[in-house]
Amino acid sequence: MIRHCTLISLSLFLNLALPVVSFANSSANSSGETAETSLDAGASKKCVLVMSYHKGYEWNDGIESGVIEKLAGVCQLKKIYMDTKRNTGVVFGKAAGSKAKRIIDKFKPDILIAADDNASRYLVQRFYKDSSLPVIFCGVNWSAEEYGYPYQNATGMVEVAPISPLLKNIQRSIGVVKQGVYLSSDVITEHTDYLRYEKEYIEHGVTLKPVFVSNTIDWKREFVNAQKADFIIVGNNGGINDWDEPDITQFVLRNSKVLTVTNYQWMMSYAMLGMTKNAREQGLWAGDVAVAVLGGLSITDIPVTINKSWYLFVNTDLLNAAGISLSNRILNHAYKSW
Amino acid sequence: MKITKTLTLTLAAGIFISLLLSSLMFQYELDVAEERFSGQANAVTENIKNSLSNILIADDKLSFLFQATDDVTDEDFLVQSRVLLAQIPYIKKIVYAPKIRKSHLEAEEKKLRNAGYTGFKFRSFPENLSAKSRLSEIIFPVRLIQPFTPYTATWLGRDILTFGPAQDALQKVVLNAEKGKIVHLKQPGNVSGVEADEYYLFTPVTFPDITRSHLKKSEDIFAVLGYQLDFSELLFVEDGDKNIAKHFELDGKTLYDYGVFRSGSLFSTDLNHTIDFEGQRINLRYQLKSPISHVDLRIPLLILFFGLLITILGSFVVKGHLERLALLSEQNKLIENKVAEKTALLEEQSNQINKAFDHQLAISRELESFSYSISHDLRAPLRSISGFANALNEDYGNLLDEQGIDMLQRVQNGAEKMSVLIDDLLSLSRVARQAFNRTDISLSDLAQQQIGEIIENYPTIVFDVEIEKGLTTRGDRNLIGIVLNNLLGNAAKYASKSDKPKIELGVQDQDGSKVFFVRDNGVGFDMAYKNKLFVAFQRLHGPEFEGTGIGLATVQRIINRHGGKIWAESELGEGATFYFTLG
Repeated sequence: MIRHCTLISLSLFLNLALPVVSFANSSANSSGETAETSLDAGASKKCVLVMSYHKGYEWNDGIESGVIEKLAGVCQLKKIYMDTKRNTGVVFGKAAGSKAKRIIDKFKPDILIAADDNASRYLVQRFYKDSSLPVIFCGVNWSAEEYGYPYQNATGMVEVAPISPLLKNIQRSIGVVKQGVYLSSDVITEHTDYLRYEKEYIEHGVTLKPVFVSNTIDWKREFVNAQKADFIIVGNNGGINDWDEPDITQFVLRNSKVLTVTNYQWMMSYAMLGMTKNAREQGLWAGDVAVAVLGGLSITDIPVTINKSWYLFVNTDLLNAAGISLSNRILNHAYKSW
Repeated sequence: MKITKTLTLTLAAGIFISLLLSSLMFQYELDVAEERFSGQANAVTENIKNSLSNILIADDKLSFLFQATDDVTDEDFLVQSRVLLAQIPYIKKIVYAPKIRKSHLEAEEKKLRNAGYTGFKFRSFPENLSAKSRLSEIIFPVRLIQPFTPYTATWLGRDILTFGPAQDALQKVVLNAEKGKIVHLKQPGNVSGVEADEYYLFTPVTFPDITRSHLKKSEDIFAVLGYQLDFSELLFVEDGDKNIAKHFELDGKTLYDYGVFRSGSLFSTDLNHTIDFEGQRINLRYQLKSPISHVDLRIPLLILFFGLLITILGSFVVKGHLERLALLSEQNKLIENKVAEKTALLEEQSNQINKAFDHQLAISRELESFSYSISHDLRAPLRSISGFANALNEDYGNLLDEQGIDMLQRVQNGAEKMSVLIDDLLSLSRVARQAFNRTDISLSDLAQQQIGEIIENYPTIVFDVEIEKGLTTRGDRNLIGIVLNNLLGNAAKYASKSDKPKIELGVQDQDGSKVFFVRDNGVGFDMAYKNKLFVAFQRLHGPEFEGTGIGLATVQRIINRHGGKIWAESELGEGATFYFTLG
């Protein structure tokens, strides 16, 4: 009994204490890790860039480089990494947001740039909504309304997938299309994305059939079935645990007959045409707005906008195997490797 | 005075020519500058015309994008407008504002918000820029704008018909269906999105079945396109024309000013051009202010500079020349005076010399006459002395003792010596008095005759005589005979005591002249006394050699009469050589 109680106590302790220890460790190592880069030590203005993720994460680094490019020589820049990609819990996110706030309050910046959703969710919405500190958000998916935007003191750039541009390129490539298949892993975000695609495509007279799968066998089977449609949108494979890249690459090469498109760069091995978001565009816009606001432009005069440029990719192996030719306009502007 | 006058004239002429050439070149450069100005103005006008045409072509292309589909994405606009901005650099901004009925505003806003434009709302321009739209049911909100910056983004969603500064132009485009309006937006204050002095062209976007030329009513328009123009990009077609003031008027209002333009200036050249653009008159005025300042003055100034330089240098040369002439003239006068003085002096000296010569000649003649008379007159008493001494010796010699005979003998010897002396003196005096008759003479023959007679006086001595054959000359035969007689006689006399006496007569060439010589191997003489050789009564030897000391003086006088020279070389005991020339 004592032994049983001891085990229960140990179990309770582990359940309660471990997350705290884990958070403490990650806080010490990465969460809220700050790295001050003084772009211009002599500049009188101060800027803070709070990034939802960690340094080294490609999307995060893209935004960061765009901001740095624009703010060089304009202000002293303090960078804060919330590290919420590797630490996805709400508790962690809130703690990272609070820690960022403490740093910001101490630094007293003239402007705050919040990159990606969690910076808005755990920091801006909680502490700086309608405050006197101008806030520029970027990299927020689909709509900033989820975080209470618009605020009196904020503007920014929303990150949308190129749903309509992708359809335009499909139409430019293969002419009139009526029906497509949305093939993706069976995860919530993909369901959400699908709804956006469906709504947009219906307005253009195109129906989309959603196909969500959880394993490779199903994916392969549905991929073959989808060849009857006019085109296939290859969604994210995140969530398909037995994904075997070389095997599926060969499979796709053998079985592709209709145009396959994707919005994810990492899915380009399985799609002929890709349009992906551009992290630097987000950073550059945030930097431009920061410069303008520091220069006297009222932040309320700058409406929230969306990303406008995309990376275009083509998989020439798949195109050749399927005997599909794209317009020169696409081929000339597209990257051939990814 | 003359120099100054000439110099002044030279300078004046030089300066005049320099100024003339320089002004001609200046006029030429002025014409070139004005022609260049005219060319530049034409080029700017053409550039603006072409640029406006290009803008309309670009506008057609962009309109077609919107006419072709009612669902132009941000990316479509981005791609197309970026191409246009790159191709037409004087378009700085492109704005697209579709026509939306107010009843559809909410739906449109929602659509945009769903597309990611969080909080999107259509709105008017800020108060300081805003004017109330004259359309109650329709708005033209800015939907797309390129380049897309935080500043230009402030225009998004704003009804362009409420854009006060451009409202008149926009109303004409939208309400009156005019094809295009250029408007100058003066900076009204610190307004977001509008920079100072912007120029916009607003054009209507018509429904696909309505061409621009058929546009007649407001209902045919479904959007407005606006182009921000940078006229400064069109103003200059080359560097040089930045000196030209430019003034553009649109519908009578100033559209653009470059440089300070003063109309009617005396010191300017004006040109007026007009461009008709979609019913708008754009008056372009160009002014080249102070055309002089645009002239390339280098060549005229260079000509003037070098002209003046040449004039100054030429003046120096002329001045120097004139001064040298004046100096030479002065020197000539001085020389003439000197010459005159010298001539007078010489004439005087010549007269004096002539007088002295005549006097000397007279004296000489008197002396010769006296000498001749003496010699001649002395001969008679001498003959008496000699005659009576001989008679005394012959008649009374036996009565005289030895001393008496000796004394008588001395008288006779003295008389003989005196007779020889008188003969010689007579001979010397005759040389000067004798008539001079120059003829060709064979010196060899004459000498041969002479030497024969001479060596007869030395019957016991064998002379080695060498007389060069063929010696000829021109002279007085008698006098030359006396010369040869004296010289050959002296040679025989002084060589007579030698073991093998030798006498030579020959000729040698000295500097192209014939020099005759008489040489012996006798006792010779000391060259220290050579100056006494030809002086009368001077003898270099003792009584062992007979003589009066008049012979060589006679020889010199004859040689002189022939215009020749005589000199001698000798060494004691080594014989002597007498050289002579005969003019």
